[in-house]
Amino acid sequence: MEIKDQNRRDFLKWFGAAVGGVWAFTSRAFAARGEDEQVQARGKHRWGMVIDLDRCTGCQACVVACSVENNQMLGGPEEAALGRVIRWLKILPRTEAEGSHIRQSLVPMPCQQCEDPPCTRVCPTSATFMNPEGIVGQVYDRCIGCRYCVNACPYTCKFFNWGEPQWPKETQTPFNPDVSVRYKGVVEKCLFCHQRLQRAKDKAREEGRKIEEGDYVTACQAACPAQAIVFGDLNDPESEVSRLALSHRSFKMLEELGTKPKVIYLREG
Amino acid sequence: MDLEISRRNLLKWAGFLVAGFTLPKAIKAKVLSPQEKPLPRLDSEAHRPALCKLCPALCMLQIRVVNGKPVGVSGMPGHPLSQGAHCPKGGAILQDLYHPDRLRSPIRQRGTKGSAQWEKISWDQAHQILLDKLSHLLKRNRPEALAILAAPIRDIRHKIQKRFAQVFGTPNFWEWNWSLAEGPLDAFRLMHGSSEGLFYDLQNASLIVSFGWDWLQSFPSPVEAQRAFSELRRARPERRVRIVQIEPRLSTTAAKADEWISIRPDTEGFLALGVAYVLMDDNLYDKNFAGRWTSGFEEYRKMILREYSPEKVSEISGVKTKQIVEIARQMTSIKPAIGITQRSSLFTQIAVHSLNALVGSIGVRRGVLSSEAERYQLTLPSAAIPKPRTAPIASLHEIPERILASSQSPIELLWMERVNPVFLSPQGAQWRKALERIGFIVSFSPFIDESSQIADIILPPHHSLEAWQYGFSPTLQGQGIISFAPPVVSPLYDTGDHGDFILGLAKSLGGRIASALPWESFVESLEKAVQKVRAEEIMKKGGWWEYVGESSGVKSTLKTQTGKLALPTGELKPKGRDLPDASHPFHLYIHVPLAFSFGEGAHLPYLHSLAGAHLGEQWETWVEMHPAAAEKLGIRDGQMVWVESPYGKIRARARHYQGIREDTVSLPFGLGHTAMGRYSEGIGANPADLLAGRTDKSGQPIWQAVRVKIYGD
Repeated sequence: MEIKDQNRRDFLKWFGAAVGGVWAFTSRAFAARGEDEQVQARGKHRWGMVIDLDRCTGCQACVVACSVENNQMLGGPEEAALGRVIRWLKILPRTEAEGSHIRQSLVPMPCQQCEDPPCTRVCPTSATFMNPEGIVGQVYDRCIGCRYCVNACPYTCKFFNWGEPQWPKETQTPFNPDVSVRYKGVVEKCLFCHQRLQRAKDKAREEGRKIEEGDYVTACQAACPAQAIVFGDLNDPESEVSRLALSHRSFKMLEELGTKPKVIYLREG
Repeated sequence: MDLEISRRNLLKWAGFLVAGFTLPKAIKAKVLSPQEKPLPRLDSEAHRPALCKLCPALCMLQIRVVNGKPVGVSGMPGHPLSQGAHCPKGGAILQDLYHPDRLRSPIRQRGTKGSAQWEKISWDQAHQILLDKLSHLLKRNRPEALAILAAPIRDIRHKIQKRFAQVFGTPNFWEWNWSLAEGPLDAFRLMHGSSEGLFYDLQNASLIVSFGWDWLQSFPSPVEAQRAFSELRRARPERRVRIVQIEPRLSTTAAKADEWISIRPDTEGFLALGVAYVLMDDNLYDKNFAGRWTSGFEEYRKMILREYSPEKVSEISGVKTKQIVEIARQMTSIKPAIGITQRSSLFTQIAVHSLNALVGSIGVRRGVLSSEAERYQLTLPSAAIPKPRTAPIASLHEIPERILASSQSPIELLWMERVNPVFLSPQGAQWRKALERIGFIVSFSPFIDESSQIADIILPPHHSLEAWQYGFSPTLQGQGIISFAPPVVSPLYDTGDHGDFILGLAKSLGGRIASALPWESFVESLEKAVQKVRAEEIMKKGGWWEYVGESSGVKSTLKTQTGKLALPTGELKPKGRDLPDASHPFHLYIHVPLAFSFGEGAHLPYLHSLAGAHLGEQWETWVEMHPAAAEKLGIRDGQMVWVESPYGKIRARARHYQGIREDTVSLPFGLGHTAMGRYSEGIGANPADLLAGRTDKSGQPIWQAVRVKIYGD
């Protein structure tokens, strides 16, 4: 093909076609990449949790286990008064009264590990992100403490360190070596005990096998005396967590927001 | 700029554009996607068995030890009690081990009692001081002036202490008990002839009607209670168990129950008798059981039908007549039903347990069962034990009264083993005064707690993770579990094994005391006890085994001389009720959060965060008030108020709570320490300060019968 008259009209036409082509190519390429990613994710693991509120007794062994596993701040009266005690997993209480009829629910709330997390979108430094297996992570040394994510999280599951945490010398000895201790000015959150996944993967690799159901257990699940917490791979249709997620009792918190949480609750009764 | 329109330029610009669109995305993805850092390499990692001694349940834990340091806690998989899980307190065991205010060596009071002027002493010095005191008592032939108050932890150290008391010649040996987390042991004893081995078959129940027992929060074995509830809810989908909770407050148990019936505090016994009335009046009771297995039934029947009509009971308890009838109907239509209660007043205990007789739930599965597991506890090799010359000076909770009533304390030397009566009792003030009158007190305690403050010497025992452990626990299945754990870490400080210390004293005292306790160390005595059951290997590695001891059948539950269930009608006579008191308009209902089960745990920071989760309360004492009642007094949610009874007053944050009766307010127990380290001292208030300090006929302290008023500053 030969371009005969080099005029403005032709230039704009060709230029427009080129821009359009590039746009179409790039957007199609990205779309294809997105699908690829999803396909990949489908092939890989997608970690999720089911919390059965009918079994749960609100004992909070999970809250303590989570705190111990993840080197969470000790807390104190001053922090408590300001609402600044950080617990990645906490009980969300709700008491409703209708005349003499009263209902109370005590719901364990870890990070809901959204599939479309509002917190990662607003992070200006990519300190909070979603990893390829669906876990919403937090990189402390990237966090600039802007707290956009704290505000964006509809579940109030992101926590800002307002002060330097107080750790008397003795209390530092039992720190979990797999989890870094946070400092003033950064945001922290439940990571589905990601360090346990890393250890489980290492172990599976050493043993020359793939990671299996039960290799990766979060601290809250392990502690629960009522066996109310089940954790596993939502991509594996055979896993218990997938099976329970299909229960007629299942629901997700604030599902209408479109965050697609990977923490699934089973209602009482 | 002149732009030549050419193929070259077109391709150049198109190239720029493509690069401009794709590169930033690629670079951003490359630069900003965080890379997973590998975890630190661990030189050594092990999971060691451990026995949790933070409460009498004695669950087995697994401690993750990395490079020689304990860094993680989980339940021991397969252990019949823990089954791989743990309770909140067990999870916080490393905070107990590494508490910054743990005592690091034995200390002695330099000034007068309670002056808090402590000086460090050695274990040898402590041994010599105690030896002199004990020898002096023996020389004066006053062995009964020694008293021992021990923790209710079933291990061999406990047996060593008990034997020491016996061979020393003192009958004054007591085991601390926490009645709010115990079943109705006094009713069991009176009605069955013995309380040993009797238990509610909770895990398999069909209908549980709890008369005031917040059993998910206060139970002999907290882990088992949570598991039993979970099993009740989901283990048998074909049969949904019904759980009814009768309590003045919407407790966690009430919130998780199918029905909560709000009742005036301390009237649960009346309600039970109202239900009994309906059962008998409507001929709904199990006549076969009543006729064949009970004694004194006619008398019981007459008394109930005379005194406890539903109308009368309704007036006392505030529960509607309709509801009383409904409970009775449920207890006969859903079989077998169990009525459960804690070790409160003797009246309530007997009233509630008599219902189990009326619905024939005794000696049957899903009802009340007996177990012989207790007899499988390890025992020390036998020795000659002399008969005590005298009886104990008093029962446990009557000790302070007895000491304060005499001009000179009958006890001259008291040793307390990990017990803190000054904090844990409604009679705290009396305990303090009584302890101040005792000549010499030695306290085995890891912390300077409220009772140890009055001691003359404090000897810090090893932590349960620092020493050999053995424990015996009965389970909800009627098994007896024997568990062992070797030390997880070496002692961090100059602490000692109290078993060894007592054996050392016995050896130095010589004679029959030494020959009854001839072992060099606690571990040696444990080995001897273990040899008898040939379990040396399990002991060495840590582990457990279980005895099946449960049996059904009414007969197995009855140890009375008549072979029948006694119905002590005399204890059910109507008792006088407090008249409404305009100056103190509210009933006070004290509840114990699971975080502070057995009244203990406020020294561990992680447990503080749990205490008032239903109201978002932590690290302080709050008082729950019904919003309507609070508004009448103009008390805002979150305002600081005084709660005052005729016996004392404390400060608390008023919290509006729909789950409390309008005529009642509730305070949590466990906070308000005046000692015991930085995380508990001065935080919150102790509601026991508001109580009268009286004991019930059951011998147990009265927790729920006081009225209070509330006002702001």
